[in-house]
Amino acid sequence: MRDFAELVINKALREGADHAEAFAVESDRLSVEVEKWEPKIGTAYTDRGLGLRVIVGGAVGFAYTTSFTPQSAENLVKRAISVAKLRRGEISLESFASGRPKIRVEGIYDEDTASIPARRLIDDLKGVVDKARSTSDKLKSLSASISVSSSRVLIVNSEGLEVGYSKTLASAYVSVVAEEGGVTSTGYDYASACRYADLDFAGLTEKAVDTAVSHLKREPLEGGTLTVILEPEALRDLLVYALLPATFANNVQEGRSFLRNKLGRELFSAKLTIIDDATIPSGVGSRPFDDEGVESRKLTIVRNGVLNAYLYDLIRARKDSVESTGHAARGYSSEPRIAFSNVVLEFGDKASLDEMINEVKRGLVVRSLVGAHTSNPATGSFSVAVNHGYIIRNGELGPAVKTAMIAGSIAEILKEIKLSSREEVWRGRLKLPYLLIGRISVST
Amino acid sequence: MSGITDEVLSIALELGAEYADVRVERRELVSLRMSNRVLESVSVGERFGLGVRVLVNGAFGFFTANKADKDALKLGIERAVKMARSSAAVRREKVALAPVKTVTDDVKGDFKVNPVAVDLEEYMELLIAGHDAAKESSKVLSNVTTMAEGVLLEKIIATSEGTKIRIVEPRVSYRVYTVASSEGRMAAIMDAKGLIKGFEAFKAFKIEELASDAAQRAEKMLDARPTPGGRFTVIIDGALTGVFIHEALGHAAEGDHVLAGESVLEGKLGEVVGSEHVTVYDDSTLEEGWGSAKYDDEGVPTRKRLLIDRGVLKGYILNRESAHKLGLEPNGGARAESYAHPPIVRMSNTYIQPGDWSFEEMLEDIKKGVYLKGSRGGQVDPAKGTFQFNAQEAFLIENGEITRPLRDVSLMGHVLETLKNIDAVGKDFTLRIGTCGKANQGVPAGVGGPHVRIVNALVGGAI
Repeated sequence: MRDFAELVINKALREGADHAEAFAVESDRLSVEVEKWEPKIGTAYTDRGLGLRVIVGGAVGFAYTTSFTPQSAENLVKRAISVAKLRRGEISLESFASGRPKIRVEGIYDEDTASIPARRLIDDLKGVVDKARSTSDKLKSLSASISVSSSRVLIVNSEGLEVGYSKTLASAYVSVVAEEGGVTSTGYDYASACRYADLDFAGLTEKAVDTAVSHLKREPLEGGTLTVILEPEALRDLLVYALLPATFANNVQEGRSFLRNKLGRELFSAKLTIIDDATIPSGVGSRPFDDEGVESRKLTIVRNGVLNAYLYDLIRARKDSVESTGHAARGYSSEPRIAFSNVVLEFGDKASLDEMINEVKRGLVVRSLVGAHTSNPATGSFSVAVNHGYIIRNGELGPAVKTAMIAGSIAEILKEIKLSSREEVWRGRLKLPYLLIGRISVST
Repeated sequence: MSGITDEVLSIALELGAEYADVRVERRELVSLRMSNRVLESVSVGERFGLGVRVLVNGAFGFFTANKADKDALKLGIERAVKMARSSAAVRREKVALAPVKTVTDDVKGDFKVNPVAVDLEEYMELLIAGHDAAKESSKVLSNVTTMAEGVLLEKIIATSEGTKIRIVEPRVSYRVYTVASSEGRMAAIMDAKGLIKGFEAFKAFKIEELASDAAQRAEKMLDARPTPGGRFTVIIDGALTGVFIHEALGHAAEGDHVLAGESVLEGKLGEVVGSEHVTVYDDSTLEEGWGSAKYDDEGVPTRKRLLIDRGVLKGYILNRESAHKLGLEPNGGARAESYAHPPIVRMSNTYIQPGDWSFEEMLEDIKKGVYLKGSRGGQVDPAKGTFQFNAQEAFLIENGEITRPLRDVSLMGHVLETLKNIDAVGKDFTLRIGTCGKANQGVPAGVGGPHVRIVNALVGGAI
């Protein structure tokens, strides 16, 4: 991989590129699945490829390949240079990243995870099946998957940068269908971690089963403006689809963000802080540098309710005459885009989950949503269905809710936070508490 | 490429597979996205690789790679076989495949101009044409994004039973996204066209018209007011009908979901699941369909599948495994995103068959209702049958007339309830392109239908 990277960089420089950069990834992944209690297809994926970027007269070009032959090198360089020549706009750079990143991020590669045998995954899946069966006799069906990957990223450029790192990732997903008296309900849970040993299969299974079984009896709720407790999973969906894309500099610059021209403004509750941090030890989104070789560092996006920063890569940073915040992400077959690494949300006033429920006269606990991906980060607005949720009456957690939709804007939600749980949960790359929101429009 | 398939299949059989199939692909791509006249992102390149599926002791294993040297292949196929054996050891029931006739065929794509061989400047012209047309049509656009994509796929599907199919398939698509802004309000409209044809098909997309239409619609939605949430009679347009029938019904009609106990349509063949106005097809053979193919990724000939006939559930979408288990005939419903993914049960082009109502007739007797157009995406839980999707445009209907635009409107409900609440089906027909996601695989899918009227539908609105 390294040799081919050097070959194409030198070739690009010879054929008219002022600068060149190779981004190569090699990955190996095992994945097993259960469908309706039975193990399904087990898969072994190996993949490798290389993306080449060039700068020609300030304009950036890109092409990729999965074949490391002299003929592919020829095509790759030709294509990347011809793309650069097409670019007569603002996608420009003076150079690629230089300066070797010094930071070390602990816990992102685990040898035991990288070398885990498929047999172990299948045994653990069987464990999930057995655990579910012993937890409830109301389950009609179970589907689950476990996957483990190890990948090696290599970035080489003509500024003299040559950096790489390895990372492992294990993830699990459990989904069940419960049935009683002709009523069916569903439940799911998932988790991911850099170390396979950190996955709590029994916990996931219990949560999925509990959600499904508790939704066998659902009661209608009268709609209106209600107090709502967002569980971390529901909160994750709203942040990922309605808020975070609006912090990406490309969306801001192109007029696709409701946070445009809002830096330094108090937009949310003064007790709210949101941080992006790629250096969290063992974080699922952690890495020593981003996919352009820019060193990772902690970035406060929202501080005490005030919008403090946007997320940048090299190209977008140059446009705003700022430094990259190290948020470039890509596979080998695409140009870098902006993405968050790990996101942590903190709110000043904390209570236990029970105390939070006690605060609510008439309201709703929202565990998970359906359709949050339809949110609009250009306006921050969303209108989504409650997938799993529970009615709160006079400070007590009641039955599951039948059908409900919540709608509004993420800015209003984050303004209306009244309380946060002390408990925080990782949901993918986000570490989130339960939040009590004063007012949300609920239709039923 | 052809030599590799023979080699892979013989290694798999030597290692003990009772069945094996392999797909070898070379996919060349040109994909350009322009935002406000800046060529924002580009993906140009080639990907080569293969995926091998082995059936051992009644369980599947899969291996994929983009290195094709013999040692790496052998090692990988060994891993797949081992995985299958481990699965087989804990399975209660063996996987078996419904029999099919073997096929030898050479499917040459329909194209005059290879979409990945044209000068990139020609793609630039298309992007600029769309951008400029949108800008000319509306003065309040804060963003116009245009995307053009061309693909040439060369693929071989071979099975240990003797099927061997060579496919050369072009594909071109164009997308436009316009955002109108004024006085702190914003409205966005997305539209797209695509055909399994060569570069010459871009002409058929009428890019200028597509873009200026999207621009005008976005501007119009700026005046949209928040929606009163609640239950209404709604009319949905063909684009939204397509997404609805795809999300809410199509996924539940997928054989693997049915067998997994994750479909509201399980055990309902021959039963009434919708009103008499509802006839639904999933059709791989539509010439203009984005999800069309002559063969599926198990090498099985595809067809037009009748899912619902005048309200009665008539069929499922099936691969060979689910067909065997359900005792039905395979209908070519196995698709994979690429060589790197095992084929799973997928839709192709899913639509409601047009009826005989005119749009005006549908509107006439609505006192208060909502007209929803286009989709901003949707989601479904096929086990429960619940769905939710957001409309791109919505309008209030009062006393048989469309009065004013509404914003942030979404529609939710239960598929079987909703299908029964369809009381009128239009005589028009629209077919759209989309990408359908399932099990981390995205495949091109067509969705369509006429205008459809639904009574007592739950509409969600904003604060």
